Amino acid sequence: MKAKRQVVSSREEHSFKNRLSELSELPKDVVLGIPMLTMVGQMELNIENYRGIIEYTDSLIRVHTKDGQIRVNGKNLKVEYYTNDEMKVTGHIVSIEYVNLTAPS
Amino acid sequence: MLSRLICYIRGYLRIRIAGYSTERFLNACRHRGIYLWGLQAVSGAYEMNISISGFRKLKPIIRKTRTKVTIIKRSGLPFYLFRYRKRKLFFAGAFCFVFLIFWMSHYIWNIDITGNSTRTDETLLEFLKAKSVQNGMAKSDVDCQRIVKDIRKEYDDIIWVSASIRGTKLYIRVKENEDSPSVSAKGNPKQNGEQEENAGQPVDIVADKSCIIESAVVRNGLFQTKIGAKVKKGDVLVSGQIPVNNDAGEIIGYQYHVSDADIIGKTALKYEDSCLNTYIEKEDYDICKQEYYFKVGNIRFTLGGIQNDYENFTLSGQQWQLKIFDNFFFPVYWGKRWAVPYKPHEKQRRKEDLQQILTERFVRYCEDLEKKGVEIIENDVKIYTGQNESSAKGNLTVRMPIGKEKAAKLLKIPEKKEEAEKETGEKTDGNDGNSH
Repeated sequence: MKAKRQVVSSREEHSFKNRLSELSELPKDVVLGIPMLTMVGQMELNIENYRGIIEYTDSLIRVHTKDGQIRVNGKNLKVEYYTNDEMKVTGHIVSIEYVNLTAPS
Repeated sequence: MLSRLICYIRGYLRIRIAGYSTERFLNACRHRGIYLWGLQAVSGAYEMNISISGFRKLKPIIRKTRTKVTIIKRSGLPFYLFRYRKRKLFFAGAFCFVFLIFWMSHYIWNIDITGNSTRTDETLLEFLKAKSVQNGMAKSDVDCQRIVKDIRKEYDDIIWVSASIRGTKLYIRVKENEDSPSVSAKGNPKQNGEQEENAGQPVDIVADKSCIIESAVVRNGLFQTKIGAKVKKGDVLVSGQIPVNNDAGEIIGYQYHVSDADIIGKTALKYEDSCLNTYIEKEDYDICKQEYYFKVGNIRFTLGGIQNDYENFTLSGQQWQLKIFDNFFFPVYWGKRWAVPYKPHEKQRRKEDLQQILTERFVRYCEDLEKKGVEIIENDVKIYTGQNESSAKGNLTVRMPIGKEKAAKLLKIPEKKEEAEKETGEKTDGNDGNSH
């Protein structure tokens, strides 16, 4: 698993788009379309560049992104708003996990 | 806060989604650009807020995702108005409110004056009122340029004025000349106004009191008297007409000036003051008649009364006026009046008390004089005690600024003499011609 992750990360780093973004100094979330997460303490989480909600309960939110899933674990989780561009999760956030990461195309 | 207000105005629904693939419902909403907020998971279902227009687009999504939608709550202005649609007076009131706000925003509701330190707000407001600029006037009638010009013309010590309207408030900013001495030193502003009007005309300085001239600093004009000379009231001290002489030393014209000089003269002031030897001591009864009142214009509503059968009573009162902001007063008053009857006792003043009263008054008079720049050299004021009243009498010898400005009587150029000379010249010429 560890070896695979390393491969993935090295691929990510060497991809054409990544190089392009580095050269042009454009933000990576725009060029690569990868999710951007902004956290305020443990109580607010902004997720941008996502594809949709897979599962939502008050203790777990699974969000589908380009490269896989993001699992947000916590208590009393609430989706403050939910639009095409971003969503905001409030509540007590305990952990955030990235799962099923695949190599970028 | 603003987004919440907008949501309230547009109206929104709280709905509950239940069914097999509720997540799919959420994603479909997102895909179609339907805005959802306040999403919460409640026992196998989701509760969320949705706009009215968003809710109308839900039908195909519900069919596709096979979910069940229940409306829990309707909130916002459209629902509120629909619920109370039969209350016509309510709508009339709301319309009146909007109309009043709109209508009243066409008037000046407050005048804000800043930057004035020697002139009070009240003085400036009174002046503006005289120029018909006041609270409650229509905004369209305010001519800021005119206000600026009027203030600049009226007050010489105000060197900069700006007038502007923001909302329903008239802002007047002034800058006073900090270098100039006190405002009243050179007479009241009206005189200054007159000076401007008399531009080009000569102005003399005349004695306003009989005195002996002690010193004079003449900045403009021709000094007409000497140091140490005695002058009478009305004598010209400094002339605003300076003669222009020709080579022969004859006056051929006058240059007109507005005289300006500081003249100090020694003069005598008469002082007289008196005080009765008796005074009335009031012995209050243990009664107090009170009256509360409320006044709108000339109509008065009272509660209680101050009428009583006693011959003497002290009537006191306190009144408030309704105002908004700092200086917008309405003709609405309320207050309280109370009368306390008393029994008068005539009592004799002690000699020391009389002396003290008269001395205090005299000292205050002297202090007032000193504030005006008068220097007291000598005084022979004495207190005389009579049978009924005591008095302080005497003369004060003082050194004080003398002179007031007065439009000069125009002097005539002595033309007759010249004409006479011309005539004689011609004659002599003629004589000369004859002799040749």
